[in-house]
Amino acid sequence: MRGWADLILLVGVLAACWTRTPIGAAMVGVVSLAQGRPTPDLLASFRTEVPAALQRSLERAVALKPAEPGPRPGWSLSSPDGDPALTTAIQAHLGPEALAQVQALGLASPEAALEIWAVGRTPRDRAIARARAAGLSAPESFEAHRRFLPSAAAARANRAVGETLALATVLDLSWPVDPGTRISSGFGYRTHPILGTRKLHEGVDLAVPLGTDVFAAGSGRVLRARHDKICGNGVKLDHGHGVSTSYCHGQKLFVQRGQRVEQGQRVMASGSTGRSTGPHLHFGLRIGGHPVDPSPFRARGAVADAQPQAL
Amino acid sequence: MGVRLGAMLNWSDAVAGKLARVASTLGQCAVVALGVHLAADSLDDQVMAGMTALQALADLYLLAPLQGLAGTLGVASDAFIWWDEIELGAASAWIALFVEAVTTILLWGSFVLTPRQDALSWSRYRRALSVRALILPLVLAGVILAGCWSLSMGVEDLLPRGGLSPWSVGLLGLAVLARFGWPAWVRAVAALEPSRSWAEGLSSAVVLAPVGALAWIYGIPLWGLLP
Ligand SMILES: [Zn+2]
Repeated sequence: MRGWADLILLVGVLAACWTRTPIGAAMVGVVSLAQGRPTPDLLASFRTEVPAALQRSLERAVALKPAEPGPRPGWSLSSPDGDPALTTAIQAHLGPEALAQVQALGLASPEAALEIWAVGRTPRDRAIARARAAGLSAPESFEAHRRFLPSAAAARANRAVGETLALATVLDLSWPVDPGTRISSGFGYRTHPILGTRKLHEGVDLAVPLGTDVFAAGSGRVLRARHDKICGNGVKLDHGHGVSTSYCHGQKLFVQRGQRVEQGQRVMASGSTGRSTGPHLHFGLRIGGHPVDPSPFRARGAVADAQPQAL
Repeated sequence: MGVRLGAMLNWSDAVAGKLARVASTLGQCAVVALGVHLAADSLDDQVMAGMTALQALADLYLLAPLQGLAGTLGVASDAFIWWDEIELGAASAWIALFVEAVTTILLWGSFVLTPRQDALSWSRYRRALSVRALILPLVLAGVILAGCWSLSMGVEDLLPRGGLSPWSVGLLGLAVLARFGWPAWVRAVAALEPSRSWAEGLSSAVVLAPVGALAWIYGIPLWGLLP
Protein backbone atom coordinates (compact mmCIF):
# COMPACT_ATOMS: atom_id res chain seq x y z
CA MET A 1 0.00 0.00 0.00
CA ARG A 2 2.71 2.41 1.05
CA GLY A 3 4.76 1.28 -1.95
CA TRP A 4 1.96 2.27 -4.34
CA ALA A 5 1.46 5.64 -2.65
CA ASP A 6 5.19 6.31 -2.93
CA LEU A 7 5.14 5.36 -6.59
CA ILE A 8 2.30 7.81 -7.31
CA LEU A 9 4.13 10.56 -5.43
CA LEU A 10 7.31 9.77 -7.37
CA VAL A 11 5.52 10.02 -10.72
CA GLY A 12 4.01 13.35 -9.64
CA VAL A 13 7.33 14.83 -8.51
CA LEU A 14 9.09 13.71 -11.69
CA ALA A 15 6.29 15.10 -13.88
CA ALA A 16 6.49 18.45 -12.08
CA CYS A 17 10.26 18.47 -12.54
CA TRP A 18 9.80 17.70 -16.24
CA THR A 19 7.44 20.62 -16.86
CA ARG A 20 8.67 23.24 -14.38
CA THR A 21 12.48 23.20 -14.35
CA PRO A 22 15.27 23.82 -16.88
CA ILE A 23 16.45 20.27 -16.22
CA GLY A 24 13.12 19.06 -17.54
CA ALA A 25 13.40 21.41 -20.53
CA ALA A 26 16.87 20.04 -21.26
CA MET A 27 15.55 16.46 -21.11
CA VAL A 28 12.69 17.36 -23.46
CA GLY A 29 15.40 18.69 -25.78
CA VAL A 30 17.42 15.46 -25.57
CA VAL A 31 14.33 13.33 -26.23
CA SER A 32 13.31 15.47 -29.22
CA LEU A 33 16.85 15.25 -30.56
CA ALA A 34 16.82 11.45 -30.23
CA GLN A 35 13.51 11.26 -32.08
CA GLY A 36 14.73 13.64 -34.77
CA ARG A 37 12.08 16.22 -33.91
CA PRO A 38 12.93 19.94 -33.65
CA THR A 39 14.30 20.85 -30.21
CA PRO A 40 12.77 23.61 -28.07
CA ASP A 41 14.20 27.03 -28.79
CA LEU A 42 16.72 27.17 -25.91
CA LEU A 43 19.07 29.38 -27.90
CA ALA A 44 16.42 31.54 -29.58
CA SER A 45 18.19 34.80 -28.77
CA PHE A 46 21.34 33.66 -30.54
CA ARG A 47 19.66 32.90 -33.87
CA THR A 48 19.59 35.44 -36.66
CA GLU A 49 15.98 35.20 -37.89
CA VAL A 50 13.19 36.87 -36.00
CA PRO A 51 10.53 34.33 -34.79
CA ALA A 52 8.12 33.49 -37.62
CA ALA A 53 4.98 34.56 -35.70
CA LEU A 54 6.47 37.98 -34.94
CA GLN A 55 7.57 38.37 -38.56
CA ARG A 56 3.98 37.76 -39.73
CA SER A 57 2.70 40.30 -37.18
CA LEU A 58 5.22 42.85 -38.44
CA GLU A 59 3.86 42.40 -41.96
CA ARG A 60 0.24 42.62 -40.74
CA ALA A 61 1.06 45.79 -38.78
CA VAL A 62 2.59 47.44 -41.84
CA ALA A 63 -0.48 46.44 -43.88
CA LEU A 64 -2.78 48.03 -41.27
CA LYS A 65 -1.13 51.40 -42.09
CA PRO A 66 -1.32 53.06 -38.68
CA ALA A 67 -1.31 56.83 -38.32
CA GLU A 68 1.89 58.85 -38.54
CA PRO A 69 4.37 57.95 -35.82
CA GLY A 70 5.65 60.44 -33.33
CA PRO A 71 6.23 61.07 -29.67
CA ARG A 72 3.08 61.25 -27.57
CA PRO A 73 2.59 62.22 -23.93
CA GLY A 74 2.44 58.59 -22.87
CA TRP A 75 0.98 55.16 -23.49
CA SER A 76 -2.76 55.21 -23.33
CA LEU A 77 -5.19 52.56 -24.35
CA SER A 78 -8.32 54.25 -23.11
CA SER A 79 -8.59 56.95 -25.73
CA PRO A 80 -8.97 55.71 -29.32
CA ASP A 81 -6.26 58.02 -30.67
CA GLY A 82 -4.11 57.72 -27.55
CA ASP A 83 -1.48 55.46 -29.02
CA PRO A 84 -1.89 54.39 -32.64
CA ALA A 85 1.30 52.31 -32.61
CA LEU A 86 0.25 50.26 -29.58
CA THR A 87 -3.32 49.77 -30.82
CA THR A 88 -2.01 48.64 -34.21
CA ALA A 89 0.51 46.32 -32.53
CA ILE A 90 -2.21 44.70 -30.42
CA GLN A 91 -4.49 44.23 -33.44
CA ALA A 92 -1.69 42.81 -35.56
CA HIS A 93 -0.10 40.53 -32.96
CA LEU A 94 -2.88 39.50 -30.57
CA GLY A 95 -5.86 39.67 -32.93
CA PRO A 96 -8.63 42.20 -33.59
CA GLU A 97 -10.79 41.10 -30.65
CA ALA A 98 -7.93 41.47 -28.13
CA LEU A 99 -7.89 45.28 -28.33
CA ALA A 100 -11.42 45.71 -26.95
CA GLN A 101 -10.75 43.16 -24.19
CA VAL A 102 -7.50 44.84 -23.13
CA GLN A 103 -9.16 48.27 -23.15
CA ALA A 104 -12.06 46.90 -21.10
CA LEU A 105 -9.64 46.09 -18.26
CA GLY A 106 -9.40 49.87 -17.76
CA LEU A 107 -5.87 49.92 -16.33
CA ALA A 108 -3.64 52.97 -16.42
CA SER A 109 -0.61 50.95 -17.44
CA PRO A 110 -0.95 49.27 -20.84
CA GLU A 111 1.88 46.90 -19.92
CA ALA A 112 -0.03 45.59 -16.90
CA ALA A 113 -3.25 45.45 -18.94
CA LEU A 114 -1.57 43.44 -21.71
CA GLU A 115 0.04 41.10 -19.23
CA ILE A 116 -3.18 40.49 -17.35
CA TRP A 117 -5.05 39.88 -20.59
CA ALA A 118 -2.38 37.49 -21.87
CA VAL A 119 -2.19 35.51 -18.63
CA GLY A 120 -5.92 34.85 -18.40
CA ARG A 121 -8.21 35.06 -15.40
CA THR A 122 -7.75 31.74 -13.58
CA PRO A 123 -3.94 31.55 -13.64
CA ARG A 124 -3.79 35.21 -12.62
CA ASP A 125 -6.08 34.75 -9.58
CA ARG A 126 -4.00 31.74 -8.58
CA ALA A 127 -0.74 33.64 -8.87
CA ILE A 128 -2.13 36.48 -6.74
CA ALA A 129 -3.31 34.08 -4.01
CA ARG A 130 0.05 32.29 -3.98
CA ALA A 131 2.03 35.53 -3.89
CA ARG A 132 -0.05 36.65 -0.89
CA ALA A 133 0.71 33.36 0.85
CA ALA A 134 4.42 33.98 0.25
CA GLY A 135 4.08 37.40 1.88
CA LEU A 136 4.06 39.54 -1.28
CA SER A 137 1.49 42.26 -1.81
CA ALA A 138 0.59 44.63 -4.66
CA PRO A 139 -1.18 42.19 -7.00
CA GLU A 140 -1.36 44.84 -9.73
CA SER A 141 2.39 44.63 -10.23
CA PHE A 142 3.21 41.43 -12.04
CA GLU A 143 6.94 41.45 -11.33
CA ALA A 144 6.73 39.41 -8.16
CA HIS A 145 3.78 37.28 -9.21
CA ARG A 146 5.23 35.77 -12.35
CA ARG A 147 7.02 32.94 -10.59
CA PHE A 148 3.74 31.72 -9.12
CA LEU A 149 2.00 31.49 -12.48
CA PRO A 150 1.51 28.11 -14.10
CA SER A 151 4.64 27.80 -16.22
CA ALA A 152 2.78 27.51 -19.54
CA ALA A 153 0.65 30.59 -18.81
CA ALA A 154 3.71 32.59 -17.70
CA ALA A 155 5.71 31.73 -20.81
CA ARG A 156 2.78 32.54 -23.10
CA ALA A 157 2.09 35.88 -21.41
CA ASN A 158 5.74 36.93 -21.31
CA ARG A 159 6.10 36.29 -24.98
CA ALA A 160 2.84 37.93 -26.03
CA VAL A 161 3.45 41.09 -23.99
CA GLY A 162 7.13 41.39 -24.93
CA GLU A 163 6.50 40.96 -28.63
CA THR A 164 3.50 43.31 -28.71
CA LEU A 165 5.39 46.11 -26.96
CA ALA A 166 8.40 45.56 -29.23
CA LEU A 167 6.11 45.78 -32.26
CA ALA A 168 4.55 49.02 -30.96
CA THR A 169 8.03 50.45 -30.35
CA VAL A 170 9.08 49.61 -33.92
CA LEU A 171 5.91 51.17 -35.36
CA ASP A 172 6.77 54.41 -33.56
CA LEU A 173 10.24 54.66 -35.12
CA SER A 174 10.98 57.29 -37.74
CA TRP A 175 13.55 57.32 -40.55
CA PRO A 176 17.00 58.58 -39.51
CA VAL A 177 17.47 60.76 -42.62
CA ASP A 178 15.16 62.24 -45.28
CA PRO A 179 12.78 59.37 -46.12
CA GLY A 180 13.23 60.19 -49.81
CA THR A 181 16.87 59.05 -49.61
CA ARG A 182 17.74 56.22 -52.00
CA ILE A 183 18.45 52.80 -50.43
CA SER A 184 21.71 51.78 -52.10
CA SER A 185 21.75 48.29 -50.58
CA GLY A 186 18.78 46.56 -48.98
CA PHE A 187 18.40 44.19 -46.07
CA GLY A 188 19.04 40.50 -46.68
CA TYR A 189 21.65 38.08 -47.95
CA ARG A 190 24.10 39.56 -50.41
CA THR A 191 27.66 39.11 -51.59
CA HIS A 192 29.75 41.45 -49.51
CA PRO A 193 31.54 44.04 -51.73
CA ILE A 194 34.80 43.85 -49.73
CA LEU A 195 34.84 40.34 -48.26
CA GLY A 196 33.28 38.66 -51.32
CA THR A 197 31.36 36.22 -49.11
CA ARG A 198 27.61 35.63 -48.89
CA LYS A 199 26.52 37.33 -45.70
CA LEU A 200 23.36 38.65 -44.11
CA HIS A 201 23.29 42.41 -44.57
CA GLU A 202 21.76 43.31 -41.21
CA GLY A 203 20.33 46.67 -42.19
CA VAL A 204 19.90 49.08 -45.09
CA ASP A 205 22.50 51.34 -46.69
CA LEU A 206 21.24 54.86 -47.34
CA ALA A 207 22.98 56.95 -49.98
CA VAL A 208 23.74 60.20 -48.17
CA PRO A 209 26.59 62.63 -48.84
CA LEU A 210 29.39 63.11 -46.29
CA GLY A 211 28.40 65.12 -43.25
CA THR A 212 24.62 64.55 -43.49
CA ASP A 213 22.87 64.85 -40.13
CA VAL A 214 21.61 61.51 -38.81
CA PHE A 215 18.69 61.63 -36.35
CA ALA A 216 17.61 59.14 -33.68
CA ALA A 217 14.82 56.94 -35.06
CA GLY A 218 13.23 56.81 -31.63
CA SER A 219 13.71 57.96 -28.07
CA GLY A 220 15.93 55.87 -25.87
CA ARG A 221 19.36 55.40 -24.36
CA VAL A 222 22.73 55.34 -26.13
CA LEU A 223 24.07 51.78 -25.82
CA ARG A 224 27.22 52.46 -27.83
CA ALA A 225 28.88 55.53 -29.30
CA ARG A 226 32.41 54.87 -30.45
CA HIS A 227 34.65 53.59 -33.21
CA ASP A 228 35.20 50.01 -34.25
CA LYS A 229 36.76 48.34 -37.28
CA ILE A 230 33.54 47.24 -39.00
CA CYS A 231 30.95 49.89 -38.11
CA GLY A 232 33.43 52.75 -38.04
CA ASN A 233 32.15 55.60 -35.92
CA GLY A 234 28.83 54.18 -34.86
CA VAL A 235 25.90 54.72 -32.54
CA LYS A 236 23.56 52.07 -31.15
CA LEU A 237 20.35 53.13 -29.41
CA ASP A 238 18.19 51.10 -27.05
CA HIS A 239 14.50 52.02 -27.42
CA GLY A 240 13.27 49.61 -24.75
CA HIS A 241 11.25 46.40 -25.11
CA GLY A 242 14.18 44.71 -26.85
CA VAL A 243 14.22 47.15 -29.79
CA SER A 244 17.49 48.77 -30.84
CA THR A 245 18.70 50.72 -33.87
CA SER A 246 22.26 51.24 -35.06
CA TYR A 247 23.91 53.83 -37.28
CA CYS A 248 27.31 53.12 -38.84
CA HIS A 249 30.17 54.67 -40.84
CA GLY A 250 29.77 58.15 -39.31
CA GLN A 251 32.17 61.05 -39.61
CA LYS A 252 31.44 62.50 -36.19
CA LEU A 253 29.38 61.42 -33.19
CA PHE A 254 27.25 63.84 -31.20
CA VAL A 255 26.20 61.59 -28.33
CA GLN A 256 27.89 59.62 -25.55
CA ARG A 257 27.22 56.16 -24.19
CA GLY A 258 24.59 56.06 -21.48
CA GLN A 259 23.06 59.36 -22.56
CA ARG A 260 19.29 59.65 -23.10
CA VAL A 261 18.19 60.80 -26.56
CA GLU A 262 14.83 61.93 -27.91
CA GLN A 263 13.33 60.89 -31.22
CA GLY A 264 14.62 63.23 -33.95
CA GLN A 265 17.70 64.28 -31.99
CA ARG A 266 20.90 64.54 -34.05
CA VAL A 267 23.22 61.67 -33.09
CA MET A 268 25.81 61.54 -35.86
CA ALA A 269 27.16 63.12 -39.03
CA SER A 270 27.41 60.54 -41.80
CA GLY A 271 30.75 59.57 -43.31
CA SER A 272 32.63 56.57 -44.67
CA THR A 273 34.52 55.15 -41.69
CA GLY A 274 34.98 51.46 -40.87
CA ARG A 275 34.40 48.72 -43.45
CA SER A 276 32.79 50.95 -46.07
CA THR A 277 33.20 51.40 -49.82
CA GLY A 278 31.97 55.01 -49.97
CA PRO A 279 29.96 57.62 -48.10
CA HIS A 280 26.69 56.10 -46.83
CA LEU A 281 24.69 55.52 -43.69
CA HIS A 282 24.14 51.93 -42.56
CA PHE A 283 20.89 51.81 -40.58
CA GLY A 284 20.06 48.64 -38.65
CA LEU A 285 17.04 47.57 -36.61
CA ARG A 286 16.95 44.70 -34.12
CA ILE A 287 14.10 43.15 -32.17
CA GLY A 288 15.17 40.93 -29.27
CA GLY A 289 18.65 40.75 -30.80
CA HIS A 290 17.32 39.58 -34.19
CA PRO A 291 18.07 41.79 -37.20
CA VAL A 292 14.87 43.00 -38.92
CA ASP A 293 14.42 44.83 -42.23
CA PRO A 294 13.59 48.47 -41.36
CA SER A 295 12.54 49.48 -44.89
CA PRO A 296 8.79 48.62 -44.59
CA PHE A 297 8.55 51.32 -41.94
CA ARG A 298 10.07 54.05 -44.08
CA ALA A 299 6.99 55.27 -45.96
CA ARG A 300 5.39 56.27 -42.71
CA GLY A 301 6.91 59.73 -42.49
CA ALA A 302 9.99 60.91 -40.71
CA VAL A 303 9.85 62.79 -37.47
CA ALA A 304 13.54 63.45 -38.00
CA ASP A 305 12.55 65.82 -40.80
CA ALA A 306 9.63 67.32 -38.98
CA GLN A 307 11.59 68.36 -35.91
CA PRO A 308 15.35 68.28 -36.29
CA GLN A 309 16.98 69.25 -33.02
CA ALA A 310 20.56 70.43 -32.98
CA LEU A 311 22.46 69.76 -29.78
CA MET B 1 14.37 -27.20 -3.01
CA GLY B 2 13.34 -25.24 0.05
CA VAL B 3 16.80 -23.69 0.32
CA ARG B 4 16.66 -22.63 -3.31
CA LEU B 5 13.28 -20.94 -2.95
CA GLY B 6 14.56 -19.12 0.12
CA ALA B 7 17.58 -17.85 -1.77
CA MET B 8 15.39 -16.64 -4.63
CA LEU B 9 13.11 -14.81 -2.23
CA ASN B 10 16.11 -13.18 -0.61
CA TRP B 11 17.41 -12.16 -4.02
CA SER B 12 14.10 -10.63 -5.09
CA ASP B 13 13.88 -8.81 -1.77
CA ALA B 14 17.31 -7.38 -2.39
CA VAL B 15 16.34 -6.26 -5.91
CA ALA B 16 13.14 -4.69 -4.62
CA GLY B 17 15.13 -2.89 -1.91
CA LYS B 18 17.62 -1.55 -4.45
CA LEU B 19 14.78 -0.38 -6.72
CA ALA B 20 13.02 1.34 -3.84
CA ARG B 21 16.24 3.13 -2.93
CA VAL B 22 16.82 4.26 -6.52
CA ALA B 23 13.21 5.43 -6.76
CA SER B 24 13.34 7.41 -3.53
CA THR B 25 16.67 8.98 -4.52
CA LEU B 26 15.10 10.01 -7.82
CA GLY B 27 12.18 11.61 -5.98
CA GLN B 28 14.55 13.40 -3.59
CA CYS B 29 16.54 14.82 -6.51
CA ALA B 30 13.35 15.99 -8.24
CA VAL B 31 12.09 17.82 -5.11
CA VAL B 32 15.45 19.60 -4.77
CA ALA B 33 15.48 20.58 -8.46
CA LEU B 34 11.95 22.01 -8.16
CA GLY B 35 12.88 24.02 -5.07
CA VAL B 36 16.09 25.41 -6.56
CA HIS B 37 14.20 26.54 -9.65
CA LEU B 38 11.47 28.28 -7.66
CA ALA B 39 14.15 30.14 -5.70
CA ALA B 40 16.32 30.96 -8.70
CA ASP B 41 13.41 31.96 -10.94
CA SER B 42 13.98 35.69 -10.54
CA LEU B 43 17.77 35.43 -10.59
CA ASP B 44 18.11 36.57 -14.22
CA ASP B 45 16.36 39.88 -13.47
CA GLN B 46 18.67 40.47 -10.51
CA VAL B 47 21.78 39.50 -12.50
CA MET B 48 20.62 41.89 -15.23
CA ALA B 49 20.28 44.75 -12.73
CA GLY B 50 23.75 43.97 -11.35
CA MET B 51 25.34 43.82 -14.80
CA THR B 52 23.70 47.11 -15.82
CA ALA B 53 25.19 48.74 -12.72
CA LEU B 54 28.61 47.24 -13.53
CA GLN B 55 28.41 48.59 -17.09
CA ALA B 56 27.59 52.05 -15.77
CA LEU B 57 30.58 51.84 -13.40
CA ALA B 58 32.86 50.76 -16.26
CA ASP B 59 31.58 53.69 -18.35
CA LEU B 60 32.25 56.10 -15.53
CA TYR B 61 35.75 54.99 -14.57
CA LEU B 62 37.21 52.96 -17.46
CA LEU B 63 35.88 54.43 -20.72
CA ALA B 64 37.85 57.69 -20.81
CA PRO B 65 41.21 56.26 -19.58
CA LEU B 66 41.02 53.31 -22.00
CA GLN B 67 40.11 55.54 -24.94
CA GLY B 68 43.05 57.74 -24.00
CA LEU B 69 45.34 54.70 -23.81
CA ALA B 70 44.11 53.46 -27.21
CA GLY B 71 44.78 56.94 -28.61
CA THR B 72 48.38 57.02 -27.31
CA LEU B 73 49.05 53.49 -28.58
CA GLY B 74 47.43 54.34 -31.91
CA VAL B 75 45.02 51.37 -31.92
CA ALA B 76 41.24 51.23 -32.34
CA SER B 77 39.47 51.73 -29.00
CA ASP B 78 37.50 48.46 -29.41
CA ALA B 79 40.75 46.65 -28.55
CA PHE B 80 40.08 47.57 -24.91
CA ILE B 81 36.36 48.35 -24.76
CA TRP B 82 34.11 45.34 -25.01
CA TRP B 83 31.55 45.63 -22.22
CA ASP B 84 29.06 47.68 -24.25
CA GLU B 85 28.81 44.81 -26.76
CA ILE B 86 27.40 42.32 -24.22
CA GLU B 87 23.75 41.43 -24.86
CA LEU B 88 22.66 41.80 -21.24
CA GLY B 89 19.37 39.89 -21.62
CA ALA B 90 20.93 36.73 -23.01
CA ALA B 91 24.00 36.96 -20.78
CA SER B 92 22.02 37.26 -17.56
CA ALA B 93 19.74 34.37 -18.55
CA TRP B 94 22.78 32.13 -19.11
CA ILE B 95 24.39 33.22 -15.83
CA ALA B 96 21.18 32.50 -13.92
CA LEU B 97 20.91 29.10 -15.59
CA PHE B 98 24.53 28.37 -14.65
CA VAL B 99 23.96 29.32 -10.99
CA GLU B 100 20.84 27.17 -10.92
CA ALA B 101 22.71 24.19 -12.40
CA VAL B 102 25.65 24.52 -9.98
CA THR B 103 23.34 24.81 -6.96
CA THR B 104 21.30 21.80 -8.03
CA ILE B 105 24.40 19.67 -8.58
CA LEU B 106 25.97 20.72 -5.25
CA LEU B 107 22.78 19.91 -3.35
CA TRP B 108 22.27 16.59 -5.18
CA GLY B 109 25.87 15.70 -4.37
CA SER B 110 25.26 16.33 -0.68
CA PHE B 111 22.98 13.29 -0.39
CA VAL B 112 23.11 11.13 -3.53
CA LEU B 113 26.71 9.95 -3.26
CA THR B 114 26.74 9.46 0.49
CA PRO B 115 26.88 6.10 2.27
CA ARG B 116 23.61 5.17 3.93
CA GLN B 117 23.59 6.75 7.38
CA ASP B 118 20.03 7.38 8.36
CA ALA B 119 20.45 8.31 12.01
CA LEU B 120 21.13 11.93 12.90
CA SER B 121 23.58 12.33 15.71
CA TRP B 122 24.22 15.54 17.58
CA SER B 123 27.76 14.65 18.63
CA ARG B 124 28.62 13.72 15.06
CA TYR B 125 27.23 17.05 13.83
CA ARG B 126 29.30 18.93 16.44
CA ARG B 127 32.45 17.30 15.12
CA ALA B 128 31.43 18.31 11.56
CA LEU B 129 30.91 21.97 12.48
CA SER B 130 32.16 24.23 9.66
CA VAL B 131 30.75 26.71 7.14
CA ARG B 132 29.36 23.77 5.19
CA ALA B 133 27.71 22.20 8.24
CA LEU B 134 26.07 25.54 9.08
CA ILE B 135 24.96 26.52 5.56
CA LEU B 136 23.96 23.21 3.99
CA PRO B 137 21.14 22.18 6.39
CA LEU B 138 19.60 25.67 6.20
CA VAL B 139 19.83 25.97 2.43
CA LEU B 140 18.64 22.42 1.82
CA ALA B 141 15.67 22.88 4.18
CA GLY B 142 14.55 26.06 2.38
CA VAL B 143 15.01 24.48 -1.03
CA ILE B 144 13.10 21.31 -0.05
CA LEU B 145 10.17 23.29 1.37
CA ALA B 146 10.11 25.40 -1.80
CA GLY B 147 10.20 22.22 -3.90
CA CYS B 148 7.20 20.75 -2.08
CA TRP B 149 5.28 23.99 -2.58
CA SER B 150 6.25 24.09 -6.24
CA LEU B 151 4.87 20.57 -6.68
CA SER B 152 1.61 21.54 -4.94
CA MET B 153 1.30 24.53 -7.28
CA GLY B 154 1.91 22.32 -10.30
CA VAL B 155 -0.85 19.92 -9.24
CA GLU B 156 -3.21 22.81 -8.46
CA ASP B 157 -2.65 24.13 -12.00
CA LEU B 158 -3.92 20.83 -13.40
CA LEU B 159 -7.08 20.72 -11.28
CA PRO B 160 -10.26 22.60 -12.21
CA ARG B 161 -10.77 25.63 -10.00
CA GLY B 162 -12.63 24.83 -6.80
CA GLY B 163 -12.43 21.08 -7.45
CA LEU B 164 -10.03 19.92 -4.79
CA SER B 165 -9.59 22.33 -1.95
CA PRO B 166 -6.20 24.00 -1.38
CA TRP B 167 -5.99 21.84 1.76
CA SER B 168 -5.77 18.60 -0.19
CA VAL B 169 -3.10 20.08 -2.44
CA GLY B 170 -1.29 21.18 0.71
CA LEU B 171 -1.56 17.65 2.11
CA LEU B 172 0.02 16.35 -1.08
CA GLY B 173 2.91 18.77 -0.53
CA LEU B 174 3.27 17.46 3.02
CA ALA B 175 3.27 13.86 1.78
CA VAL B 176 6.09 14.69 -0.63
CA LEU B 177 7.92 16.43 2.21
CA ALA B 178 7.58 13.33 4.40
CA ARG B 179 8.49 10.74 1.77
CA PHE B 180 11.17 12.58 -0.26
CA GLY B 181 12.08 15.94 1.30
CA TRP B 182 12.78 14.91 4.88
CA PRO B 183 14.75 11.74 3.93
CA ALA B 184 16.93 13.81 1.59
CA TRP B 185 17.66 16.34 4.35
CA VAL B 186 18.48 13.59 6.87
CA ARG B 187 20.74 11.85 4.38
CA ALA B 188 22.66 15.06 3.66
CA VAL B 189 23.02 16.17 7.29
CA ALA B 190 23.90 12.69 8.60
CA ALA B 191 26.60 12.40 5.96
CA LEU B 192 28.48 15.54 7.01
CA GLU B 193 32.10 14.49 7.56
CA PRO B 194 34.07 15.58 10.63
CA SER B 195 35.66 18.87 9.66
CA ARG B 196 39.34 19.75 9.72
CA SER B 197 38.82 23.49 9.41
CA TRP B 198 36.08 26.08 9.87
CA ALA B 199 36.46 27.31 6.31
CA GLU B 200 35.29 24.03 4.77
CA GLY B 201 32.53 24.70 2.23
CA LEU B 202 33.24 28.42 2.07
CA SER B 203 33.52 28.54 -1.72
CA SER B 204 30.34 26.56 -2.39
CA ALA B 205 28.53 28.75 0.17
CA VAL B 206 29.03 31.71 -2.19
CA VAL B 207 26.58 30.05 -4.62
CA LEU B 208 24.40 28.14 -2.13
CA ALA B 209 23.68 30.95 0.35
CA PRO B 210 21.95 33.40 -2.06
CA VAL B 211 19.79 30.68 -3.60
CA GLY B 212 18.98 29.37 -0.12
CA ALA B 213 18.00 32.84 1.05
CA LEU B 214 15.70 33.29 -1.99
CA ALA B 215 14.15 29.89 -1.24
CA TRP B 216 13.39 30.92 2.35
CA ILE B 217 12.02 34.30 1.27
CA TYR B 218 9.88 33.37 -1.75
CA GLY B 219 9.62 29.61 -1.67
CA ILE B 220 7.59 29.10 1.47
CA PRO B 221 3.90 30.02 1.72
CA LEU B 222 4.05 31.09 5.36
CA TRP B 223 5.14 34.72 5.52
CA GLY B 224 1.81 35.92 4.16
CA LEU B 225 0.03 34.30 7.12
CA LEU B 226 2.11 36.22 9.66
CA PRO B 227 0.59 39.48 10.94
ZN1 LIG C 1 25.37 48.32 -44.58
